[in-house]
Amino acid sequence: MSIQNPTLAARLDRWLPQLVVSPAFAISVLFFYGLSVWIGALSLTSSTANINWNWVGFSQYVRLFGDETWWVAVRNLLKFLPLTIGLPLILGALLAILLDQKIRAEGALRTLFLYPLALSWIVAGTLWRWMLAPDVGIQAFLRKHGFENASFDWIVNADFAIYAIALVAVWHSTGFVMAMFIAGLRGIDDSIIKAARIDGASMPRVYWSIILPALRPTVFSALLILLPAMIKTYDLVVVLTQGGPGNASILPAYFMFDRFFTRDQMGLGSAAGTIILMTCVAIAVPYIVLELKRQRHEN
Amino acid sequence: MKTFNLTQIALSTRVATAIALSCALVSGAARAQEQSVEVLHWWTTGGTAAAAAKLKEAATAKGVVWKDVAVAGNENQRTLLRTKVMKGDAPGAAQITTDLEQFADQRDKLFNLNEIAKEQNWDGVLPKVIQDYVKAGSGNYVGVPLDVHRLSILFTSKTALKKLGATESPKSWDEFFVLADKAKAAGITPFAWGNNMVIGIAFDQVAFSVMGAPAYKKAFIDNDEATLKSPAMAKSFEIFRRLANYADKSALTKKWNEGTQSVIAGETLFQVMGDWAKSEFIRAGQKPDVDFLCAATPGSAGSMNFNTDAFLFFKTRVDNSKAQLTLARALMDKQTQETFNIAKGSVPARMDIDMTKFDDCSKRTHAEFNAAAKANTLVPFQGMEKPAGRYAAMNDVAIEFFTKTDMTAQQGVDKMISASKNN
Repeated sequence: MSIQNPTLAARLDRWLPQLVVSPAFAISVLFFYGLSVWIGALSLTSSTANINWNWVGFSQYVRLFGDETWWVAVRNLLKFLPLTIGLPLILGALLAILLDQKIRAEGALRTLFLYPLALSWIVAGTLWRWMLAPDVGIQAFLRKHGFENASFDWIVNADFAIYAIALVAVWHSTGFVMAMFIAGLRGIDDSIIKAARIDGASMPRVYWSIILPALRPTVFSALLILLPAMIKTYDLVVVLTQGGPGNASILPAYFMFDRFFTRDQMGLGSAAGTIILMTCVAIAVPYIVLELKRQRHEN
Repeated sequence: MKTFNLTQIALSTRVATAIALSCALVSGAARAQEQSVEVLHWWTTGGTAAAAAKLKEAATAKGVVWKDVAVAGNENQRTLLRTKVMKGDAPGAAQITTDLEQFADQRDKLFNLNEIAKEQNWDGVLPKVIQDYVKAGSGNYVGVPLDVHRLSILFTSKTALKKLGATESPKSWDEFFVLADKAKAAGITPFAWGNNMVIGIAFDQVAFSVMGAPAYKKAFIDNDEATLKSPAMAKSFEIFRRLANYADKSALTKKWNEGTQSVIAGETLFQVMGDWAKSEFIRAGQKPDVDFLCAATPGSAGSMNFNTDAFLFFKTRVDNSKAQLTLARALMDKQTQETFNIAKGSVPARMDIDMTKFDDCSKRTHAEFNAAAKANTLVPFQGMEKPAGRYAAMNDVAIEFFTKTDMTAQQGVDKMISASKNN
């Protein structure tokens, strides 16, 4: 018995991590990979309001690519992504650097900038819809205070509605990116900075050549969180514009949900979903592989 | 031995009691189930909830236990209904307006009401289009129609009309535009524009009045390409463009009832919106013909475009057929149709209801509804009769046409045809 016990403990030691991780693993296999495969299969059927397994090959994809509305959604995404990923990264980094200057009331300011994240998209979207509506929001406010020609009607303007959505998305995620950057900045060893200063490097130079490169993993994490979040933007569209005016501000995720759940076109919706998933994978996988390789080299 | 026997006897009595008890419980439960019907609907707000309560009263009076499953928002109700039917747990009855299509190919899941229909002579008291609708293409009655909302209706503010020196609702689009221009010159908003829903209904009603009931039905319900290509379709787009030109941009975020409020206040002259808008006027203390006019949309007199709410009946997991039949009988009862529709502001789906207790607007709607049924010019809302995807795609074209001011009528027609074909 006394000899067996350590081996049991050792065995347990070896198996415990697997045991603990396996429920999460099973869940992700079932609900993420399983459902992805299921949606992929569904996109090859003629399902409408109800699921059927009538195989029709790739005709749902042909229909999707022939659908003008889908291309409106894709074009909108191409305008939306660079803004909603680029701007939060730049503004977040800037805010983090400024907050990192050992200023007074840093805690309070940090909370202030981070606060948008505490609001759900629905609440934030509703607030912004009121502010952006020309007859009650910012435009009306400006006009009441003397700027009679002030015009801020993005939300009802077919050419600008998508930028109105982008504006809210940037506002919502900048604070979060800032928090990540602050954590990154705090992780950099002070002595490196001091050494650089002694060597005569100016503060901007220190930031540009030492600190920002050291923040590379932070940028990587922020990007990997922002990218899928922005690609799957749905709720913001619903709250702010409902895709309107007309179809001017729809995004692929909105298109997918609309076809799948409200328009009784499950096959078409699944095809759109599959394309969105493949886009995410196509962008994320090479980036992850690249980053992992670099880390291995560096270690 | 003796003890053994005693134990055995004691044991068997206990078992017997247990069995008897559980039998009683099971049959009790079964009886309770038998008399109740689960009713899934989305009437949760103000007037509609009050109207739904009338149905519940009528059912309860007949001894049916109404198990209320009210879901806020028709999208949510649709999703729940579909999920429940899919997993084999269908409710006894469910409210339905637009997506009958999806249940039409699951006929075996629908509950047959022919027995009650025969008893109450549904064939005689319901117009043909509504008969077809509640049969869902199955040949049997599977639903009970509850109300009729007129869509081809024009509301006019009498206050605004007086300022323009007119007294009557326009009979043609030409008359309409003359009044609208006058209103604009007088600083009154000519037409209550609003969000996508408002735009969609406006386009529908322009097309219905310009094309006429038979052609409209062919184009939008039977999906007939030749009719969609016809000059009348292009004419509809032209009239719609003239109407769209009265819109100012900030109107596009407004809901239909905000538009109604503006008509009530006399700041806006016209509104085209289903007759549920009437309840806003009534609630504001206004009277039909005195403070506001309700009439056929210009050029649509003699025909009617309407939608209806029905309860669709499903076969349930546990047999509830007796209660379901009783419920159907109670819902179609003249008394129920009267009280429900007075509460809801709509008119009954039955043609043989005494309308004395209704307001003048409803009285006229009911009379015109019956006349249109006889003349075969009664056309249901297109969304009731075709797949949701096709309806939404064609509606998208109307909205796109509205927002893109440089789109020509011919481009509108072409897009309408491709939306009808591809969805």
